[in-house]
Formats: sequence, C-alpha cells, structure tokens
Amino acid sequence: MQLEITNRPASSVARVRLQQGESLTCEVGAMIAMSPHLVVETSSAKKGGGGGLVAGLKRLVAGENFFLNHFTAQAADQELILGPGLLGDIVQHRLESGHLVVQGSSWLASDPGIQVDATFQGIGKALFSGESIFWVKCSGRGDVLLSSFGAIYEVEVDGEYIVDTGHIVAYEDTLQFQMDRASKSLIGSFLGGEGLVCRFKGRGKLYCQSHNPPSFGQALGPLLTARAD
Amino acid sequence: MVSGSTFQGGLFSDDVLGKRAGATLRLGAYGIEAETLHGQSFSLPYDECQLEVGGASGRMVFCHGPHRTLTLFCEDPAFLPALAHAGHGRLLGQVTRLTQDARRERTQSLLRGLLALLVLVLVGYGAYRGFAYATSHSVEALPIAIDEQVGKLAMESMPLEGPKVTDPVLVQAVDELVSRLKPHAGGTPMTFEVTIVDAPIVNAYCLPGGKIVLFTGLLKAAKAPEQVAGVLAHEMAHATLRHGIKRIANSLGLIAGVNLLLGDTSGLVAVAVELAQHGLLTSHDREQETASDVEAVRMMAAAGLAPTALADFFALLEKDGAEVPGAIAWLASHPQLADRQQEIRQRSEKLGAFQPRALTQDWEQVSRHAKQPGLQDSKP
Repeated sequence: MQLEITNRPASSVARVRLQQGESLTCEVGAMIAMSPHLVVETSSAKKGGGGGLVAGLKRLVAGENFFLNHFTAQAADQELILGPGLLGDIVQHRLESGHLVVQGSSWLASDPGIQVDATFQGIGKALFSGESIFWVKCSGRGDVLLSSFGAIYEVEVDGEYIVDTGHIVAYEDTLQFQMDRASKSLIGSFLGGEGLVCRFKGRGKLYCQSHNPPSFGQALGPLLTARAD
Repeated sequence: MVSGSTFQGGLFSDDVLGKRAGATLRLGAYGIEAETLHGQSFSLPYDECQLEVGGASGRMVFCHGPHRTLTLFCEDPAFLPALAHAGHGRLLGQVTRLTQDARRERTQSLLRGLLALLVLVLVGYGAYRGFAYATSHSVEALPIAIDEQVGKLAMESMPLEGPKVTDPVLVQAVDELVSRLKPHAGGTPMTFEVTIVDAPIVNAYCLPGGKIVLFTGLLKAAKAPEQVAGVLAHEMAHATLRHGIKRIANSLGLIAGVNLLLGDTSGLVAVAVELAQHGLLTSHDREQETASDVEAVRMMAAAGLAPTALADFFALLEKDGAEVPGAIAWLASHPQLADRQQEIRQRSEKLGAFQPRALTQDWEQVSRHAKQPGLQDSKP
C-alpha cells in the first residue's frame, strides 16, 4: 500500500494506492473517489472477522460509525481517495505495538490488521475534556489515518504537556492525561478563557488539532439568520 | 520461578527507528531483557531500574534506565507482581510502593468520580426543582381567562360518563349550595358552573376556571346537603387555588415551560388537552388535596355551614365504602381519607364557633331525585 496525503492542511485528502489483494478499512462515508476495480465490503467486524456487533456498538458510542467499509483491490494499482467530513487535516500514524487512543470521529482509516474499538476514559475526562465520553482505541500492527478539524500538529511528549480541551486528536498508550486548571486559580482559569485543560504526562506521540468543531459552531451560530418556516 | 517469564510490551530508545518499538520483555536473573520486533536486543539491570506506573490506562508499568536512555514498558497485569519477585526481590520495595500508590490513586479517583456524579445529580435535581418552581409560580401571574380557556377545552375533551341532568330539583339544590359558597371563595372571582351527570359514581371534579362536574352517585351517597356542600367547596378550592393549571405547568416540557415563563401559553393549553384526554387533569397530589380541604373548611364556616361536613362525608365513604356503589372512584382520586378527616376536624376546631345558617332544600326529595332524575313527585 502506498499513501500520499495532499492539499494539507485545510482540505486534505489521502490518496491510497492498493495492489491486488490489498485492503484498507475506512470510516463510513470517507471515500471520495476510487478506481473501478476496488470492491467495498461493509460490516461491523474488522476485515477477516473479529469484533462484530459489540465492537460496532462500542464504536457507535465513541462517535464513530457502527459499520466499517473494507476496500479490497481486485487488480493492480487501484487508487482510493479518502477525506474527512469537515475541512481539516490527515496524518498517518504507524502502529507497531500497544494502542493509539483516538478522539471520537478522528479515526479515518487503517490497515485491516488494526482493531478499531472503544474505550472509556473515566467520568472526569468524559465530562470536561471536550471530547466524547468514549474514545476510539486502535490496536494491532499497521497504519492508521487520523483526521481533524483544522491542521494537525504532532508533539513528542517527554515529561508534561498541556492541551486545551477539544484539541486532542490522538495519543499513544504510553501517555497519561488528567483534567487540570489552566492556571493556579480556578476563577482565573475561567476568566482567562481557558478553563480546564488536558495535562499529559509520560512519553509518547500526541496529535493535536488547531481548531475544534464546537468553538467553530459557537462562533458561526450567532451570524446565521433564522430559518423561515 | 519468575526468571524467564516473558511479557509483550515495548521500549523507548534513541537506538530504535522512531524511538519506540514493540518488544518482548523477559525477566532474567539480573535484569530485564528486551528484544524488539525487528530483532534488536536491550538489557536493563534490576539495580538500575526505576519503576513508574502511568500510561493511558493508568496501569502501564515503565522501567526507566539511567538518564532514561532506555525505558521498557508493559501493560500486562502480571508484569508488576512478577517484577516484585524477579532478581531475588531487588525491586520489591519499589513494587510495594507503586502498588500502594496505585491503590490510593484508584480509591481517590473513585471518590472523585462519585463526588462528580453526586454534584451532577444534585445540580440536575436543583435545576429541575427550580424550573418546576418557576413554571408553577409563573402560573400565578396568568389571568383567570387562561384557566377558563383551559377548562373549556378540557371539558370538551373529556367524556362525561353519563347524560347531563336537567332535573330542576337537583339543579336548584346544587345551585343553592354553590350560591352559598361562592361569595366566600378566595382568590380572583370566577364563575362556577356545575354540570350534574347521571352516573353511579361517587365523585366530583373541578376543571381549571371553575367548571365542576358532580355525579348523581355522590348525591345519592351523601346523607346531608352540607356533605355535598363540603365536596363542592373542596372542588371550588381546587379552582381558586389554581391547582389544575399548576398541575399542567408541572407537566410541561422544557421548551413549553420556557415559553410559559416568557408568556406564551399555547404549550400550556396543548398539554391541558392532552392531560384531560388521559383523565390526568383532575388528579391532584397530597399537598393540593390538603390545601383544598383547608380552604373548604374556611369557606364552609364562612357560609354558615358545618365545616366538619366534608370529614363526615369521608367517614361515610370510609365506613361504607365497599357498600356504596361507585365509591371506589372517590377513594382512588382522593387517597389518605383518615388523615384528611383528622386534619379537617382539627382545622374546624381551630376556627372556633361559626354562625350556622340552615339550607332551604328538602334533602329527602333531592335524594329521591338523585336516585331517579326527572322523577315526578306525587306531592309538591
């Protein structure tokens, strides 16, 4: 499989070239265009089995789709163009061991060997992190494509790192994060507009997005005129 | 026994591509040996090992080498206990400390979670009660015309359970009772309109705005006109205290409730019709029933009627409930009769003496007509 990500960061698309017999598992609705000799198989299980109904339901509560689309090339040099639903970026993450924790809706596609599941991060994070109650957990070996709203930037955390709520895309399993105040004073934290933040500890890769959909919606909403009935 | 145990994990090192690699960890006699998926080998002596617990799950064990140039990690739950016994217990102290820290952290985390949940529940409950209080009290500011509109619509939506009675004996008898009580009704003056329905049901109900439905079954069951007056006073009090409209306000959804607070009553009327169709508009909670009893006692005494008559009627139903046909309707919609009798009698005593003024109606005649509306009396 060959991968090229173009038009970054605002209107990114992933151009994937598959050889005969190669497959890619994608989020439902991620396909923009494709070669004629790619067949699509839709199921709630990962390619070749594994997961099924329970995994589908878990993905659903994590903000992803119940179903997965498996694209398989029936001929050589088949091209598949993928893109996220909102304007934003795409990055490729190579998963060799352990797992990657992805915020709901940021998982775009992955190798068939990757298990896409959901994980609960605790009540505090569920309430205050600005992300879904459940997160997507990608495990296994292979490539994972992540999407975002706005640009994605990668941080190699070694020690501590702070990210505003709603800006996390994904992080490696070796990182731990807790909800924390932006400044020492709780009132100051909120008056400063930052409120609560996500404080990461440990060592590993962290992907953040430059924008987040709720903030965009809050900025855009008041400018929209009321819909006539 | 532990030496030689293997676990799947990973490592951080500047010597591997991407600085992170998956690895198989083996607990040797003197240290942890790691072999990456690409065949690179690393070793970390137990004596140089600094343990830490963390990661996304909070259960990943990290073994740091000097200056953290090599870090091994594993999430297998058996890894930490195995480390405690590896290398003749060299790491036992660190493992014990980490285990205690992890247990304390889990307990604190659980308590924080429960506290957050409790706060959420309390805030939610407080918001619900506050909203219910605001909508309920916003009703006080609405004009009586809204009650009348709601009552009229509800009356049209509810089945009457029997034909309307036009027998002048019954109509005049009930009119006399209402006329006696009406000047003493509290709140904003309203028009009370009683519809007598011929049905063997011992019950009466009042819709918002003062529309009262009285069944002939109740007239038959009552032993004195004062008892019927007591029931009518109780039902009139539901209207003057605006219990029906408050009941509707409490049943409003969030949007209709907010609209009501902003002065839009369309949702209120729609819910009233819905409740009326399901027979829920005339059922009141214990607090409202007690408030109506108290108001009825006051009205009866002011009208020169024995205020304990309502309690007498309750006693009658309680004693002969099983033998009075249709009494179950009253018992179902007016629970806790014994407590309420006591309350009525206590309130009546507190009011002290009242000036009784007799009613002019012939109760025996009324009872006969209640059994057979439209009866032609043999003597005038």
